[in-house]
Amino acid sequence: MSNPTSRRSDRRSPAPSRSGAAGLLHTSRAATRWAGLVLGSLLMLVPMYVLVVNAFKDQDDIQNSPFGLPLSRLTLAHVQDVLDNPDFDLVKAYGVTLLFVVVVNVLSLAVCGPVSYVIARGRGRRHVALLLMFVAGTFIPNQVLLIPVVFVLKTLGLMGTVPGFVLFETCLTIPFSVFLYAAYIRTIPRELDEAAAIDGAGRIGTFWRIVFPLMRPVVATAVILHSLSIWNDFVTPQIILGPGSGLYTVTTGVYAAIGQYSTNYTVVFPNLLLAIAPALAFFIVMQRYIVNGLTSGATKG
Amino acid sequence: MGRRRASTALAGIAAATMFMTACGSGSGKSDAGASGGEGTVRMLVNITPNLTQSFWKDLVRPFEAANPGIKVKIESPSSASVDTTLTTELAAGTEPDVVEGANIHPFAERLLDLSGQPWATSAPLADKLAVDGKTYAVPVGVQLQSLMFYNKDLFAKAGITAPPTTMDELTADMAKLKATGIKPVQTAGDWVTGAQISMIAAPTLLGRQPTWYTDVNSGKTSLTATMKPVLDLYNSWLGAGYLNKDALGVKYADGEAAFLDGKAAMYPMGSWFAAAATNPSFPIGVFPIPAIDGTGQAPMGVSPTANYAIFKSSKHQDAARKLVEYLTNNKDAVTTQLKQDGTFRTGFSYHGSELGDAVQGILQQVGTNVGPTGGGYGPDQLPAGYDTQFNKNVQGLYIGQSVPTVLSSLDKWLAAQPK
Amino acid sequence: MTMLRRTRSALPGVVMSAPAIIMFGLLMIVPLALSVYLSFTNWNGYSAHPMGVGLANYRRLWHDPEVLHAAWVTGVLAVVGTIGCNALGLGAAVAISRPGKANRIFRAVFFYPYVISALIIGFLWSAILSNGGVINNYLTSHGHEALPFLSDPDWALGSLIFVVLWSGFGLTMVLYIAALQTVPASLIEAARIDGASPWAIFRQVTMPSIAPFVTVNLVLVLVSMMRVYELVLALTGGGPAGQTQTAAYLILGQSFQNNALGYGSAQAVILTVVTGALALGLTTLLRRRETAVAA
Repeated sequence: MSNPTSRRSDRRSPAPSRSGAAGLLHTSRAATRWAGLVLGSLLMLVPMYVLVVNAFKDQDDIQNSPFGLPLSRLTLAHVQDVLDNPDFDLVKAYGVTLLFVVVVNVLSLAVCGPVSYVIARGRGRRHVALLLMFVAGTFIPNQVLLIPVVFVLKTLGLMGTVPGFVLFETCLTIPFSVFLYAAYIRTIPRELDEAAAIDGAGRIGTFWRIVFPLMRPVVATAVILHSLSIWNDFVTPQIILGPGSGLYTVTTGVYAAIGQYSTNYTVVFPNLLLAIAPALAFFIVMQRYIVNGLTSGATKG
Repeated sequence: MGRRRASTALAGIAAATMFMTACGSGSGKSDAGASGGEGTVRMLVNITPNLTQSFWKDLVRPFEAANPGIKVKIESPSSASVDTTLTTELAAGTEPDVVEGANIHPFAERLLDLSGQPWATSAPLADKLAVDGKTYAVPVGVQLQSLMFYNKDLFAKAGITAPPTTMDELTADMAKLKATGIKPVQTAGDWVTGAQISMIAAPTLLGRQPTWYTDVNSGKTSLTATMKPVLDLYNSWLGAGYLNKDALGVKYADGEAAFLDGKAAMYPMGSWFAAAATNPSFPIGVFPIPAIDGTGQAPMGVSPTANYAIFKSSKHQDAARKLVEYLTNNKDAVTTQLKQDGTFRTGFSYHGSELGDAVQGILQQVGTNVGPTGGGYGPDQLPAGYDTQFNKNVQGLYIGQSVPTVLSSLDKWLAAQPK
Repeated sequence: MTMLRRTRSALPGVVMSAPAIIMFGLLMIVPLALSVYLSFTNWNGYSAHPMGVGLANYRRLWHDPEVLHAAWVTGVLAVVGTIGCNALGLGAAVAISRPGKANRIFRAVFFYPYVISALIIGFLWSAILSNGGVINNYLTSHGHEALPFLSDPDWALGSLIFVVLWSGFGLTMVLYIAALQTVPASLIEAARIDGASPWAIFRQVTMPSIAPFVTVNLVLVLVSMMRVYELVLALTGGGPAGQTQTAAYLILGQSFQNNALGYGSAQAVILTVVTGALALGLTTLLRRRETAVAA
């Protein structure tokens, strides 16, 4: 995502040499800033530290020295137990969730891309209305929708099924996708479309062959953000998939695995660690894209 | 270039569609083979520390071996409980073939009538669960609810020679324990607070008013009018420091562990605790919780366990019926379940622990002088969600709410529930 | 002929819009309408014919102490969470907006909870804050009293707000960093040469330039505060004594548990309306201030 401002250097010119009180003030302000930042970082990181070290400790060590790192007594046994849990196959849950992420993203693109194009190129009132309608969807708390969605999906015969779940998750991506895509497509010159039309391409063809390839950065943004929200969603799979489907996502599985054992920390910590590991790894690798993606989304608003 | 991209997108959509159709057929009730008792039977069960998913799978394995055409799919709740999950599933039309341990009364009309099956009608408490005289749910056994487990060593240390038989004696014993520096009663947060109070209240409520459930449901009486003495007593225990004030922060498992560590002298809990207390480091005793006004035998709060019911919508009714008959009548299957969850049934004795035998003794002693606790069962049942609501409200006692406040907000809630 | 061409050229647009419109209509608008309909019934979730009860569900809302308390908790979260996230986010953004390796690391550290599921964050903090949890184990083993982070109603609400801020301010920060980069460096330089203090520069140059972003951020956080559910579920379970139930928690928790989908729908309708009204009201108000500030 080309951030229009990131290229401009916002480095301020080095301050003229200071002396006396002004210099002291400057140093103490810098010290406060550093102290605040380091303290804040500690607050952010200690929970993660606790999670990681305790995932490899026995219950006694967790209870007696929760912050300790007894190198000689660290064990992989409890992490292994999570992976071997006969009631909840975490590796399968990874696979299932990942498949959901892929399928919803593909569907979302197929559904939201074309309509965004129509909206972006449209000049009529109805196009504005359409955009407003989609964007208004952002304000609907999605848990609130779940009760009636159960009813709708039941009528369609899709309740408790993978297609039902995938369709609803896709629908939840519409507001943000359309908002992003439409704004981006407006920055793509119309002349490109017109040239394609002269070459005899239809509108659908023009979109997929000419416009869509140019949307790569914004699509990447949407895919990254949707992937995170699908991976992390709990309440939708909990209610729509339910026990009947026999499928667990990472979150519903961890909820079931921890539920009865919330005081057995040799169950809790390894489960949580394994649940967040993929998302954290994804974050570390994709950090720049995630942050840029979010920024571009907001800057457009 | 552009064309390739477009075709990639199309291929992606095609793949997605295939994935969805493939998975779609794998879920829900899809496969045919209704006749002859064949097919896959979906069974929604309770999952607890005693009853794990592996336990259930092992339980049905011999049945599957004996009935080659039938597979049993164990399903665990996706929400906090079987009842909540089932409401979602009923709303969605994805209910299982068989459900274990649900409050079946509200949706009895959706269940298969098993009145014509002698093996079903003869099950323990089956008559009490009947709705309009029809048997829909078949329990495996009975769990005793109004039990007080106690640490014999700590009782001896406080100079208590025999377990109390009246509420006054019980309170006096608490005072003795407290004076000796022993925490008298172990309570806990989670769902435990409300459940324990229901266990403590049952003998008094049932003893005074055997028709309590019907009367509350019809609005003839209220919780304020009937439950106040019990809550006042409980609240006085709390004020006197007989109950641990930090209860709301104690999880169920922590509370159990604290009692088993000898940190408290008494622990009000259902008979399943006998199955959990396998290797205690001190002798554990048990006595029935007395009624407030009482000499003589107080009624015992009980609950049917593992009651199985079959949905009419099931496409595998014959297979489901066979399964339920097996689970509630086969000697091995029944005994395994009884033993696993501290459950009892006359005619099916098993060699349990000393503590288990003591509980069995209490069951024989109370005979038919039993009734429901908490939200109840069968027609003696308060509206869905009562136990959760009760728990939330009585926890208010720990944060300084008064007994009348707690009871009146519960009465308000009850009044607002659809009849 | 022209007529024909016109219909032909409109067709692709319809084809391209139809999937999104149908999907959105079927799974957002119809459910929303259904919510409104169900809120006038006593539907229990499985009866074939929901019975109309008029406004009874809505009337009950105003007298239900549980609903009123949940509304209060949601309100506290909305106010404290929205202001807190924005204050922390803006503060952090100002502190680390300049490029540089150290700042990049700080950004990642403040932001990372965003990628973790709220459910998992709730479980993690519950393991840290509960009575038998990490902090209290540490305190009691060092001879201190345990603290009732999750077992006292006020502490529990405080803990909930803390975790909301902990996991939420990073996103706000990232958005403010982007905003700060749009402030023309020349303006700041000019103010500096005029001898303005850093605070004066922030108040009089930076804030007016980023005002539109403040609006976006406030509204975004507000909307997300109105739907806190998973965090409550995993952190406090709504307890102790139901004192930390939020509106969303009550709707989902109660509707299915009490077979009260009609009543739950009424709460859902109110929550949606209030969220929409607040978001719209806040946007209008702030946009007006933006222009006032700019002028």
